[in-house]
Amino acid sequence: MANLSLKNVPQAIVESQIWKSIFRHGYTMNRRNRLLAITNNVFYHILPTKISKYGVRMRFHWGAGIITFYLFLILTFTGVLLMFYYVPTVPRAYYDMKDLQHVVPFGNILRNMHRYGAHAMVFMVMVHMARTFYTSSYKPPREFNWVVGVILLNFTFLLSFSGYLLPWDQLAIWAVTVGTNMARATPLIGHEGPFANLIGMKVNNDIRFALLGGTTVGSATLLRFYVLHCIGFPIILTIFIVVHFWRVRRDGFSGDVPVRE
Amino acid sequence: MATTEKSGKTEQAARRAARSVPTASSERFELTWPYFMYTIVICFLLTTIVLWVWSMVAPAPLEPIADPNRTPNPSKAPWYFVGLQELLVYFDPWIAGVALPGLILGGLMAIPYIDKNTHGIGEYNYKDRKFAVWVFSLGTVFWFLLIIIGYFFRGPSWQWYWPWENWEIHKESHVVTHSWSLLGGSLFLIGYTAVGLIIPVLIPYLIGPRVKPASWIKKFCDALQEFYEKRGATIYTIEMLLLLTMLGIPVKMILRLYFNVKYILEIPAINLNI
Amino acid sequence: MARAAGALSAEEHATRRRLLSFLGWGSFVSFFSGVTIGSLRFFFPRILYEPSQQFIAGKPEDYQVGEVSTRMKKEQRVWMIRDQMGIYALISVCTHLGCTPIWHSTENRIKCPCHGSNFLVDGQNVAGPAPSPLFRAAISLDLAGNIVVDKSQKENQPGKRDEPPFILPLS
Ligand code: HEM
Ligand code: FES
Repeated sequence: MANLSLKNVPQAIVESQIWKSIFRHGYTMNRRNRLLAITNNVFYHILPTKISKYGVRMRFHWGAGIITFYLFLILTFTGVLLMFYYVPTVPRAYYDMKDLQHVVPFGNILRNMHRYGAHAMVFMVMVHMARTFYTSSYKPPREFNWVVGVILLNFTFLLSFSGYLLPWDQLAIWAVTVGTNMARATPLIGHEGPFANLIGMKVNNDIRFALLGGTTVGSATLLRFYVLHCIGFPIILTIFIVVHFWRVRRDGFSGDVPVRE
Repeated sequence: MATTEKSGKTEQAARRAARSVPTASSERFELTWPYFMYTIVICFLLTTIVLWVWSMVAPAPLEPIADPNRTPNPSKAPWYFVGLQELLVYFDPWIAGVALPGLILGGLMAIPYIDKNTHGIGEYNYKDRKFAVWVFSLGTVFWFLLIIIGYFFRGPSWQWYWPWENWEIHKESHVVTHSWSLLGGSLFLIGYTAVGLIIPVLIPYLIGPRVKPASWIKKFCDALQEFYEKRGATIYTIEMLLLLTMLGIPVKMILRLYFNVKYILEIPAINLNI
Repeated sequence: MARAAGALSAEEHATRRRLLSFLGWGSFVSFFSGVTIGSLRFFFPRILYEPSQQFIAGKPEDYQVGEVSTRMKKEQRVWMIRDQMGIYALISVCTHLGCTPIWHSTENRIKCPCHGSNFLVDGQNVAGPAPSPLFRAAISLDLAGNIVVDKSQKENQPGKRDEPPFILPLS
């Protein structure tokens, strides 16, 4: 008890059994511990323990994939918070947005971040795709991860599109009216598409009807898009992101091994 | 001009050796912890700062409440779909809204399987993959060009307004569009596809033997021939059809904007209007 | 070697095993395809809670010849148009992708804000991407002399759209 001064507190904490049971390896300047810091952590062990100095530069990877992923995390966080105030019904949705803007504490910045974050994510996913194209990262053995990437691109669009309806303002309803009416023009499964009349497609049995839950964009549509936006698409995107990261690890980062000779 | 497989590989190896950081030896590698973590954390921090400041200074738009009886004039999609919205002006919904996006996504997914060129993995290499880089860049630029047209050059009634023109001043337009005849349309489309598909293959055989060996025309012919032979008939056809589809879009846009052509080919019976 | 009575040959055994395997996998596959089809069917509601498609649009005297009236547009999304022949109700849903077009009296045209389709007052599509003319709704008089418009019944083909019930003949 003698040397119980404030100076010793941090060390006492770091050396306590509780701390050590959680963090196995201190940040000591030794190579072994640094490797173990990666491999022994459930979140980090998807990363390799070392990366080539060539590939690790921002100039090579532009940070685009990392930022896209981080934006997805921000969107998940802000989105879950928004769900505490937003009710997906026609009488309430729009006024809940107004409340978020004007009366909910920090509601406006939360909403802004969610909205701008979505725009930024769409942009960054395109930038990331361009980067992987220009570094030929889609070539063997990474062909499949490029395909997974295109699927991610697609679901990023779907996520943005489904979220766009939720504020229930004029931008929302017309974007979704036009977007879902393209579905009715799909060949075979949309009632105005080519050959659809051959299999008896009508306004109330085609793909658009299932998407809208009715014949016009209305309360059923709002609920459907809400469920897809908050649960369906994020889960699918998460699954594919997991596969994507796993494949980056298994196939090797292209900046690590420029060419297999 | 045409590098052979072998000399290309050697050059690439030389370039890689010349780069300060060659590939596999361990002193060329950096520990993830903590050095790569810095990169990640910096990306996260910068993103947070940018997004936070952006959200503080610019309120996100919220228009009046949804009203199915009134569409704002003009009504624009979010920026990443404005290109699609602009496409919808020129093509029927099932083409612009379903077939073309499907082809774009399908074409993107097919890239690794139709681009058999193994050069340039893990480096910014333009020299050995000029065609691929050009096509991808052209597609990207064109996509953003559509977005810019839709966003900045379209005003009320989705009419063409220059950015300096006032939307309040109503622009009258009495345009009437018309379609081409079935014969003219089919000839045009067949001709377009045939020229695009066959001419690049024919040029080396027709013109190649008749020009001086060192002339640029000869080099051009050789390049075309190599282009075809590297790919083989199937992949060549797939690639060219995708490319011709992409290049066909601005063709139709010009025909519509300058010549008021509604459809090049019109077959309403099977909903095939191009 | 002598076999015990009743035991199966390898061949017979294989047949039975194949049958059981077929039945097993068959029921597995058919069950899950049933579930898939059921889940898909689930997304097609049997009952809709959408507003009625019929409404009353005043009396014939309320409309002047040559007028494109927007009085019903705010609530019902139709223009009431009276020409020499009679009154028709032009549904203001763009035949392209469903936006609400706007009537511009100075140009004598109906134009759509979404992709710029142009229509004439009779509904004919003349420019822009719209693939077909605007629809006219069924229109009739009730016993009290009110105009009744029924948007669930509609027609846009020249000829058919100029005959009752898609026009209310007045002289
Ligand atoms: C939700 C969207 C996406 C996320 C979160 C994501 C994330 C990542 C991350 C973190 C990496 C590691 C390398 C880096 O940061 O550049 C990566 C690599 C990769 N990504 Fe994505 N990505 C997404 C979408 C896409 C798309 C749209 C494509 C292409 C169509 C794509 C293709 C690839 C490829 C080929 C690699 C391997 C790169 C290499 O080894 O150099 N990804 N992705
Ligand atoms: S919805 Fe009217 S022009 Fe597209």
